[in-house]
This record gives sequence, structure tokens and C-alpha cells, in this order.
Amino acid sequence: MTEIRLEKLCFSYDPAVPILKDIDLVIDKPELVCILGANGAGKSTLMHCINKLSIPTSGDVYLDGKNLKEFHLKDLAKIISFVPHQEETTFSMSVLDTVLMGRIPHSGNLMSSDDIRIAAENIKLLEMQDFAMHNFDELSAGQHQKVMIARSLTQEPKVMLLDEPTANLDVKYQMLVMRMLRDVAKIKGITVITICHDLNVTAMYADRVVMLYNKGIYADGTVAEVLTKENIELLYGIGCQVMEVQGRPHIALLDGDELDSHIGDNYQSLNGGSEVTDE
Amino acid sequence: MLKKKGKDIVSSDEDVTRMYTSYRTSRSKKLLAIIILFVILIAASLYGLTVGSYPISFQEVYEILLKRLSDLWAAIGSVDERVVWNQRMPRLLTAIVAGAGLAVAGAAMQSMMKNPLADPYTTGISSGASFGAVIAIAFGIAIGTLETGTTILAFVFALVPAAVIILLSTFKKTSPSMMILAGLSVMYIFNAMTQYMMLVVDSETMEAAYQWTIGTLNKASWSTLPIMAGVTIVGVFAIMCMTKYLNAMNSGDNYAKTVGVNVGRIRIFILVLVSIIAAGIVSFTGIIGFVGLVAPHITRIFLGSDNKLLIPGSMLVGAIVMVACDIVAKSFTTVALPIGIVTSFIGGPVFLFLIIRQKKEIW
Repeated sequence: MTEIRLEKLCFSYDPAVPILKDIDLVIDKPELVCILGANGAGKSTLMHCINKLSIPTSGDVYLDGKNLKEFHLKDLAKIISFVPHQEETTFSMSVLDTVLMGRIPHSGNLMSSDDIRIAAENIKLLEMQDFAMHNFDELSAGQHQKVMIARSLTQEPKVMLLDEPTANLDVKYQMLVMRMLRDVAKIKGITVITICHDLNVTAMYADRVVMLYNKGIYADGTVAEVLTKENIELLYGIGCQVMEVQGRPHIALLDGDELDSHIGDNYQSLNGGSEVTDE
Repeated sequence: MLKKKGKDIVSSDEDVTRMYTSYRTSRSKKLLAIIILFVILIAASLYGLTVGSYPISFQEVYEILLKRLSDLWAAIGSVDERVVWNQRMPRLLTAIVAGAGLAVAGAAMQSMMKNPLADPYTTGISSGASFGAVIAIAFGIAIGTLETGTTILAFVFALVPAAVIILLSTFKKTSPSMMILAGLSVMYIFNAMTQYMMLVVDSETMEAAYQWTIGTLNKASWSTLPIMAGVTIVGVFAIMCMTKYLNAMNSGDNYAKTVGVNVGRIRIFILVLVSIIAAGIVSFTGIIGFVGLVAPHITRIFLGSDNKLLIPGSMLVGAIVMVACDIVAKSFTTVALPIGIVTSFIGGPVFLFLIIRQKKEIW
């Protein structure tokens, strides 16, 4: 288990336009933590500050009490793995070769039998065993996502960061992946931090939810504590109803007048210049 | 339970064992392909030694070769022996070294820059080398001899674009696109200066400078080979040690960083290696186009994109392409054509074919 501590973390590209401001956060349990926030809230930036892809403008990040600045990238890679939002491979390799890249921080230039075994086991865990020797190019977007998660697990990290891992998956696999991430956190004692946009999938599986709003952390706690009608309406500016299903919140989003303020003139003109109505 | 049996691994999980076996089988097949490429290179080389304007039979060539190999320092007797050992052999080895070096440099550049059009010349190496050579020829800069002066200046100026990119990287983060664009900028500047030089020199100097810019193996000799081969072998070996970093960088800078790759430093290091390899070759042979671009793409067809196999595979394919092009260059005219013309003439259509047959839209 690794403790992640963020102290007074600020980030901005332009000092006049802060993206994150005075973030204080401690994650010290092997659990599934979901980061929620509207587009542009700074979710990915927050994640990038934890794995050194971005350097905070001010403030510090500590891993088990050691400042992130003192970590070499190679040492950090043995602790934190990352699943990017989208794979950017130009010249694709086989699925197994792609997953084997997760062993880079642990291996030399050649992969050992153990490296291959670990990669194969994680491919199976994501139910991709029938595609192990297929070229990464030949897979669907959802399958790409699963390969990237398998690659991340192959890194045998103590902390997994995932930037929208369910973005391209169908409903079944969204649930499967989130459940698997929750189980991985518990069984392997890994802290899993993921950015998620689907409120109900988050409500179903997250152990903890961190809600970003107005450049800071607006709410932090269990799904029942964070996913309330008030918080969701404030965060996204839309109406909703929150009920309880299987002992967890279930959110029904409502189409209402709140959306009108986000609809531009161009869209209004599609309706002959009239306002958008149900009639 | 999993247990090891020598190099093999046995798992109670059938799927894991199946994947493991498939992976090992696939690797074995690719290693076999590399061995076959090596055999093809040997065969092409042996045939290449028999081709030339001076008629020497197959049997004579191999008798001379065996005699020389049994006693490397024996005095050269006949004209045949001189032609085979002092002309064709260094020419062949120069072709192999140049092809292998340029292809490895191309493969490394393409993976590092995530760009299928990248080759050793994308960063402006060729234009730098041309300018250096033209300066030496135009001003008669002799370091020992004019030829040595030309080679040294070509080498030095070929490294200038890399130096510019490294200098830029101290002020700004170097992305692959930025490196290519900086290389192109330097290339245009060098081209403009070269063209200006060509305008102001006399016609004889202009012809000599022009001749240099067309890649040729006609000047290959035992004296130039060790430097060229030495630089190439060291550079290729260093790149081979960095194949896992190249694989990671092919998945994007952010991902590469998260598996511990210091992307900025590795990119600069590879750029320097590629520049030294290419400069070491072109300063002796002149500009040889397309090998660095096409050989890695041909190799990917049957070895895939894993740089651990792609780099050695490209090395062999590059060498084969050069030896084959040299055979063509020597076959059609009494005086061998400059190989730069042949590689471009054959490489162009081959590249066009590769573009048409591509499965993924990477261009």
C-alpha cells in the first residue's frame, strides 16, 4: 500500500488562469478512487501531477512521505502505472508485445519467461487471450482499452492511474472493468485512481469519489456522501434525481431548462430561431 | 502452479501456456527470418563480387577470395586479384556498411519520431553534408588531401542540424514534430547556401561538387572502410541497446515517461547516434537516398514493429538492398552508375507500393 499526499498543489499554464488551486488530498488505502468533474475541471492535470507527467506550479506531492521531486522516472514507474485516455501507437505490435511493454521498468532489454507469463496472465484477466497474437491495429476501441489496462497491470504497480478507462467500452465492459479495478485494488492491495464520466458506473463500484469543481476539491468521500443531487446539479449544471439501488446511489439525469443556457445561437437557429422546446 | 523447465514455462492455466507457446513460436519464426536474411545477404554479396566491367569468372573470384582469406597480408599478384580484393571487396563492404547503417538509422528515427517518413536525412543531415563538401571543393580545403578535407567537412556539417536541435531543446521541449521541422529549416538554409556556392564557383568546381552530392561507391577503398565501419558498428550497437525505449516512445511520450523512459534525453541521444552514423556514411559515399526510408518499412512487413527485431532486421534488409542496387549499378553500364541514382530509382516505386498496400492509415 502506498500513501499519496498532495499538499497545497497548484497548477497553471498561465499564472492568470489557474487550473488547480490549493489541492490537499490524501489517498492511503488500497481502494478504487474515482475523480469526477466537468470538462476542463483539471482531472487529467491532477493525475499528471501524481505521476510526474506535469510539474505542479507550486505545492508538493508525496509518495509514502517522499517528495515526488526526488523520484527518478524509472523508480516511479515501479510504483505508479498509467493508462492514457487514448493509445498513440504509430507502428503497432502484437497484443502480447504491447502488454509486455509494462515490464520495461522491471526488465532488461530482453523479456524473461516470467515477464511473458505475467503479461499473459493479465491478458487473460481482461479476457483478451484469443487476441494475444493479433496486431493491436486490428482491435476495436474497447479492446484497445482492455489491452492498455492489461499492460498497466503487467507493470505490477502499487498505484494505478487511469484516464477514462471505460470511455470506449460498452455497458457490460464498463461494469466489468470497474468491478475488476475495484477487486484488483482489494485483492492486490493496489490504489486505483481513475477518471470517470459515468456517474452510475462510479456510484456502483467506487470506494471513494473525489469531486473537482472551481479549481479545487469540492467533495471527497463515499459515493453516498458525494453523489448527491445538490453536488451533481452544481457540478454539471443539470437537473437530476438520485435514488438508491442495491444500496448505492443511482442517478437519473433530467432534460430541462438548465441545458438551454449551454445551447448556442447556432443550434437555436436549427429550430427556425425559436427556442428549443419539447413541442 | 507455474514452474520453469529450462527456458520453457508450464502453467496449469491452459490459456497462459498457449499464449506463451504462441509467443515463443512467433519469435522463433522471426529469428529464422533474420537468419534467412543473413543467408540472402551472403549470397548476394558473393554474387556481387563476380559482377563488374572487368570480366572475371565465378571460379576465379572465389579462388582469389579463398587465397586472400587464408593469408590476408600476402602480396597481391595478378590484375584479377587486385580487381577482386582491392576494388570489389571494399566496394562490397562499403555497400553493406552503408546500407545497414542507414537502415538502422531510419528505423530508429521512424520509431523515435513516430513518423513513417522520417529517415536519417529528415533532420537535415544530407544538406549539411552537401554544404560541407561543396565548401571544401570550392575553397580547395585540403586536410592532407582535398578528398580528406571534403570528407571531414561533410562529416562536420552533417552534424550541424543535430547540434541546432540539441541547442533548441535546451530552451524548449523537443517534440518529434519540432525536431523534424527544425531539421527542415536547417535543410533549407543549407540548400540555399549550397546553391549560392554552386552559382559563384567555376564550372569545373561545380561539376566536382555536383558529383559528390550523388551517392557513389566508386571511391570505396580499404583505407576509408575502417572509419566508416567503426562509426557505424558503434552507433548501431548503441541503438540496439535502446530498443525497449524506442518501443515505449512509439506509444507516445507520456506513456514512455510512465514506464520510466527519460524521453527528452533518450531522443537527443538517439538523434546524435543517428546523425553520427549517417554523417559517417555520407561523408564517404555522398548522399544515398531511400535506403534509410524504405528498408525499415520492408522489414516491418515480415518482422513487425518490435524494435528488438526491427533494428537487426532493417540492418540486414538495408545491406541487401544496397548490395542488390550495386549489382544493378554495375550491370547496365561499363562504368558503374552512382548508387544514389539506383537506390532512388528503385526505392521510389517500392515506397509507392508500400504506401498502397498499407493496412493502417499512418500516412
